[in-house]
Amino acid sequence: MKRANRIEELIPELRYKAGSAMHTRVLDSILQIFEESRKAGASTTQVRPWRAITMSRIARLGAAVLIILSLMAGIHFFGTSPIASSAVFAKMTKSLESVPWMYAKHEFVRGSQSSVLETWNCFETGMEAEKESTGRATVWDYQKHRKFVYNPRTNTIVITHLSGNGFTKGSSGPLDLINNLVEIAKSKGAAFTHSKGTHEGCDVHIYVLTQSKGGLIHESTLKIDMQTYLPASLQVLSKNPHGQVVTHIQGNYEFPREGPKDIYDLGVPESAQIMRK
Amino acid sequence: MLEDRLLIWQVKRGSKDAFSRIYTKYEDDLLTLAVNLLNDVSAAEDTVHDVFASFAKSVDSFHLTGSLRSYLATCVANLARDRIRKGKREKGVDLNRAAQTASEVSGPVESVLHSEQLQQLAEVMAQLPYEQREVIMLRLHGGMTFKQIGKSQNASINTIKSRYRYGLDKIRMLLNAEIENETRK
Repeated sequence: MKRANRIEELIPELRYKAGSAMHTRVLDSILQIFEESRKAGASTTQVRPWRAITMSRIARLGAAVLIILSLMAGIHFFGTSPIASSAVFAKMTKSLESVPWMYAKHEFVRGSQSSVLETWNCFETGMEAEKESTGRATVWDYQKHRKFVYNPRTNTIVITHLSGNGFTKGSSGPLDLINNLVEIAKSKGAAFTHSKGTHEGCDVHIYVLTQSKGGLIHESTLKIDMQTYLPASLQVLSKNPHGQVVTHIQGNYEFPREGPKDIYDLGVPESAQIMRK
Repeated sequence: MLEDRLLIWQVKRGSKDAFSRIYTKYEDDLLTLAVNLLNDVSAAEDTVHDVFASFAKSVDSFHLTGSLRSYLATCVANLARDRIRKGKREKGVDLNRAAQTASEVSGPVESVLHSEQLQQLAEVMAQLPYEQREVIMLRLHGGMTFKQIGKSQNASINTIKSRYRYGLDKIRMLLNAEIENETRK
């Protein structure tokens, strides 16, 4: 009877252990499946086909990643809040440094005008690329110290020397860039909030930075995946004093294994005339 | 928990080592669950293999919302249930097979049921209706809550609690009957 009364303690002792032969057999098989799956995935991971967007762009922001990093800088500056956001962002920047590529797609809307800017960043190889909805494409190759700019109107690629060893606005990485931008953020009065929520089914940290500039109120909302600590999306709303949205920027982030190898991967035609300066 | 998240992150980046570590970490737990659910060592090995094979293929889109252990345990239970429903494995309660499994100490799986007491328990577990056995195993081996089990089986929490309680009652009854038989001898 005594034995029967402690069944719940006994059942966890009902254990089996894989023999070494089974361990090796199963492990070898699943590792092979894992490897094949990765190879299959890599072969289908390609630069997205370019969308034909003919509307004129509304803003030239340089690397779109600046938006997110500016926001990070602001949050970094406010990181002394009790929610310990600085710890989250330290992990995020570390994650960003370890991903092969960051792909960002930003859609800008102002009134009836809209535009799309896509960017690729690879901190490891020192490559940056962006493509605007007008067809204009730019590649920064910090290893070869060359910048390639494609102008669709003239169908030319202009190659110029890229000075400096830095990456993204003269910074060596995201964390360095944050530090560079902290001083800028300090000069701006801003409000900052943090909450938790979901984004496409994933748990995320939600950071909202609100600041006034040029008579507009800019509200930036950044969502960071709680699992990977990588940015998932960014929304920037610029409102006039009446609360009407003047500009809307929506950014989504992905982390593909591969990015563009050169400017032709951005859809630039091989017939484009090359000009060196 | 944090370690699992880091391992998954590494696996998503293509780390075979991290994938191996996840397998090694949960291999015995999942095998124990599968053997107890299926009463068949070969089927249990196949089930654990298939769960990890599926995990390997889908890890890119995988998002961990709870514990990895519970997730994998649920996968094993789902696959075991499918196997049983398809009638490919368990055809009624096979006490001889259950006894064989419980005492099997060689071959692909090493039993750690060293005591007679545990062997008897394993045999009794095999006599339970599958649904009761599954709830008990997920609760006590998978470390899952009744709510999590209910969600994974698409059943109410009260149903799950009932299955758990009836299952334990039946185990007690069967073990007590055996004790009485031994006493009479």
